[in-house]
Amino acid sequence: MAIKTVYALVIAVIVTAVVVGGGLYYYYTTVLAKPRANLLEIYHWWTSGGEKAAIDALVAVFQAKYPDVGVIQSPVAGGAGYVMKAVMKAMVAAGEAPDAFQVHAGYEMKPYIDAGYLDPIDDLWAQQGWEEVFPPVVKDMVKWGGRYYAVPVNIHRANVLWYNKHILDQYGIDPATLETWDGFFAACEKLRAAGIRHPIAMGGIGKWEIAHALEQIFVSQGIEFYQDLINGKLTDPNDSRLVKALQIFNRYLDYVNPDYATLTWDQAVARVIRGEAAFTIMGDWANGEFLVAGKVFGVDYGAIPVPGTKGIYVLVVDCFERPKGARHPENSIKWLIVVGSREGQDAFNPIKGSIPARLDADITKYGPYQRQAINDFRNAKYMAPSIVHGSGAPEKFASAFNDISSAFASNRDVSAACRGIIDAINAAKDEYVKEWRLY
Amino acid sequence: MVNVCIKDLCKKFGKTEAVKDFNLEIKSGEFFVLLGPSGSGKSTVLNCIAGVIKPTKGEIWIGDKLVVSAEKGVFIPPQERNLGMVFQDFALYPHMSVFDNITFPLKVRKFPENEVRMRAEQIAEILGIKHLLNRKPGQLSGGEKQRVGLARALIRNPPLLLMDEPLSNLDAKLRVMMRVELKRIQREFKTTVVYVTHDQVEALSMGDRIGIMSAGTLQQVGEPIEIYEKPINTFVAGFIGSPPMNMFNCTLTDLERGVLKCDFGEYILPKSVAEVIFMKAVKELILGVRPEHVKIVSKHMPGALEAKFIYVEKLGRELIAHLKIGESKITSIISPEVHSSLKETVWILFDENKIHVFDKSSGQTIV
Amino acid sequence: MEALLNEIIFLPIIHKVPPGRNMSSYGSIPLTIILMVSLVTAFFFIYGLIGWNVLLSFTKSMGLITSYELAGSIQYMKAGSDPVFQISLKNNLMLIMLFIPGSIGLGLLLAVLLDIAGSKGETLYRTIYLLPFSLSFVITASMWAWMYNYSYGVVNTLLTALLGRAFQINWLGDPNIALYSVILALIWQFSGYTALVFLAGIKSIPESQINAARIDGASAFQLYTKIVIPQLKPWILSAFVVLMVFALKAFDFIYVLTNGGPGVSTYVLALLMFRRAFFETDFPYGAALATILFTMVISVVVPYLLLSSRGREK
Repeated sequence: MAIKTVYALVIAVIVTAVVVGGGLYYYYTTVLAKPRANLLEIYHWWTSGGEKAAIDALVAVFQAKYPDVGVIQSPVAGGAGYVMKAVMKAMVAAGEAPDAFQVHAGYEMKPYIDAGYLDPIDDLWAQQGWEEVFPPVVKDMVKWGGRYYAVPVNIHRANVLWYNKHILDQYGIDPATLETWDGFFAACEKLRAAGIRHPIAMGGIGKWEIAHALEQIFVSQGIEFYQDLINGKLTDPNDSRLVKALQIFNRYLDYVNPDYATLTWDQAVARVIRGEAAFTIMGDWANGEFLVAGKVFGVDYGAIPVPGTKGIYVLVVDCFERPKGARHPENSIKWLIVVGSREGQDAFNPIKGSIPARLDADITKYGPYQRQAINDFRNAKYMAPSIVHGSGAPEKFASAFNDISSAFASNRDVSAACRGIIDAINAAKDEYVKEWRLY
Repeated sequence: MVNVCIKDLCKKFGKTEAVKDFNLEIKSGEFFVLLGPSGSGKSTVLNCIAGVIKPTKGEIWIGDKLVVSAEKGVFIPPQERNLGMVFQDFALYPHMSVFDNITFPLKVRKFPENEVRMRAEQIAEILGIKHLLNRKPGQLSGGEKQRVGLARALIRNPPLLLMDEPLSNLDAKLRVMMRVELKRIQREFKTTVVYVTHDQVEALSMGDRIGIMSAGTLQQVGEPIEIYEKPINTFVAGFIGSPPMNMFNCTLTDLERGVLKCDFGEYILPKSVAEVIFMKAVKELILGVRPEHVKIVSKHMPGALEAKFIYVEKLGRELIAHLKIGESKITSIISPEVHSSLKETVWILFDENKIHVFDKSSGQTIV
Repeated sequence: MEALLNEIIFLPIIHKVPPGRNMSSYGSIPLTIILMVSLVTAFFFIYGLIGWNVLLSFTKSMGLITSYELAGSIQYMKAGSDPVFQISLKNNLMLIMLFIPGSIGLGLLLAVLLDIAGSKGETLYRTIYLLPFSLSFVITASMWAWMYNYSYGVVNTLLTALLGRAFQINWLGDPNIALYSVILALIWQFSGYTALVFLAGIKSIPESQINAARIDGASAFQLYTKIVIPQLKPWILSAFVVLMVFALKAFDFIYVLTNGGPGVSTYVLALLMFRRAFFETDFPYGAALATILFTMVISVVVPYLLLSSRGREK
């Protein structure tokens, strides 16, 4: 047995070495050396019905323009790209970067930039004249060290308060009164008195749903405050604006469904659709849920900026970039040209439910909610990158922010939350490499 | 000591009838052997007595206690039947020491500690396993396990001891030894024993009486010698005895004279036998004769049949001669001395007082 | 890491290999070679990568930038000062202390009940009990999220119907309760599996022993407590190791059910590792956490494997 095993082991090692070595040899000499097929390989996390149709429309624009390039889409399922984030970091680190991949603009790009995995594309920006068509904050979000690294494809708005119009009509609540927190809470109180115990619907199973609401409340405390927050400039846990924001959130939570911890964001939206709750704060991807339920904007439901954020557009931005060592760098560039083009963005966004990151969208192609959003976007006084959706603040802070928000929703301890925010900023202080200028 | 009475016992497993119409009275203090090939239903009967199987029909009495009756809805669970059982695989509890194994029946009955110890030592002494008390079953040999199993079954001094093929897992030498041992133990404990086996040697050597089973029915009950000499049918005749009884298909050609036409030729029945056959008026018969009743002679004699040796099995003191008469084969037991004096062609004679005649259609014994 | 743990989690199940069968008795050299090739490949892809992971945790790597310059135990110091690490560790210990005995206890109870119920409908029971285990954790976790729903969940609906409003419990929203809710759901998920392992163990006890015990006078209760359950020791040990490894590497179920929340009250080490490595792009720290987890798992599995291989040699 023993000698036989040793022989077998030796043979096995040799066989394995030959097979693996041969495979690698073949790969490097034949597969890589061959004139590469004319392909474009892209990764994204748009896998649900509407999302898939949107990216397909964008790919269709690309293929109409470059019919000789084959497109390989590699969608990675998993809500808000949580799986793909892991997959892509692993792939890029292994030197297996695709020709382009979806990433949130802003701080989510930082690890790739730090490690030098992305190529700057300043020439492309200049050549395509994109400098003129994207708003400054959006441009800032894809700029690192003064150089462009990506092209934004769409904008979702984070600071949207969705309401069930029938309920508001029934109880005589004018949406115009919801522009301030006082007006909003007065409406909540009125609805509660009328028997709707929990007029606000909120999810929370993934924690970010809670952080999302808190983030909008932070924005409502003024663009200066929010800029300090995302620039890591807050140092005082007793900062009155910070305390005020958490007090508002505390009051907000009084009206929130107690089962939030077991709900997803779309289940919360469904409560507004069904009329079990009047309000929910959610990004404007929620619009799709209303549409699927057959609801009509302006008739069954409405959307206004979160109280105190009128004139501010909180940005959730997806973008594509050119990874270093992409197999088909020239196709990568072609793809980015399409992604950044008006035509491409106007093909993608009407279906996706977002709006173009460009200011010159063809408004006729969009639904009623999106038209209003495009209008708001063009006329926005301020734009602000979202923390929760990977743009505004370092990943380390964003991750802690989720935990802090979730903890606060159950313990409602304002000072603990304030301390938590400041601690999280301090813990991530080396990573605040961007200086946002929002005003 | 206690007697066991089984009345009209039937047991079906699904559609198969394992035991049918089983009636038996086992006398108090008796060593009773249930003998049969595997699948004959003997273990099922034993398990019904033990109470680990419920019969489909019939009733069982242990002493004057009705322990189970399907008709009357009586069922006394095994632990209340006051019996011990020994199993083919010994069924020792592998996680317990020998001491814990044999005292288990006392401990679950909450016997006082000192009595448990006393009884355990006593029984260990009798069975010669005193030195093993602290071992685990995994460390014992087959024979030792057997003694432990016995000790556990006997520790409560039950009036009835059931044994299910207890020697089958032992090697041949040990088996012979244990046969004697078991008889000794039975005498010592004065217990009624019901013993199930497929081994006729065990049955014949140990049983006070034997019950032979085949295909779920009891064929014959009797003392070993009775079963051996007076089998009631061809099954019993063929099952008991080694080598088995020689049997030949015959047709009665001359009723008056008792002339049989057999495969090997003509055979004339002795007068006493012919008379019985005459009364029965059965024509198709089976002639049976045990090997030890087949005599071999070197010269032709009246009534002798010519035969040829095929080969000879040597079993020490005696030989089994396989011969050919006509188209049939026949075995005979002879001594080596006789064998050495013989040539290839010999003549054989049947011991006329020891021949058996069966009715071919029913298999029942006529003579 | 995940792949490795999955390898390990199913190892103990093969421990009832019929005795006397080993590689050499299959005899043929080509077959041995095939086995060896897979072994060598496994060694490279599993143990090689584990080695690399350990190395990574000691280097000066940062984020996605890999460096092979050694930095000592900085990353491990980080764990010492990471408050969430302590919470996660404590929660893993809670899982070990509650989830394992819970699953084994409930599994034993179910196995005994199944055994008493006998062969009638056994396949049905088997299917019913094994189903939760064969379902993806993501699915069962979503299901439990619904059942634990504060307002509409079946658990609270039943509790309030039986005991009144005061017993409406915020299963996942209360940081003092959420961990126990997770453990309860996990016990449910695993007890079907343990029940079937134990049932197989019960079935492997020869019937003659059961009959002997009954004749010897054991009541049904004594039969199980004195004869059957003591003999399940190797099965319990094997289930224990599987559960232990799971309790240490628990991730997907918790990720979906609470994502560590409320706050950080239900964080476990694997979840922390995932968050730190992939969400905060702190790969060296993630590698350090993975190494810590790996050490814990190994310290459970290796003694077990040694023990069971020694048992097999006997």
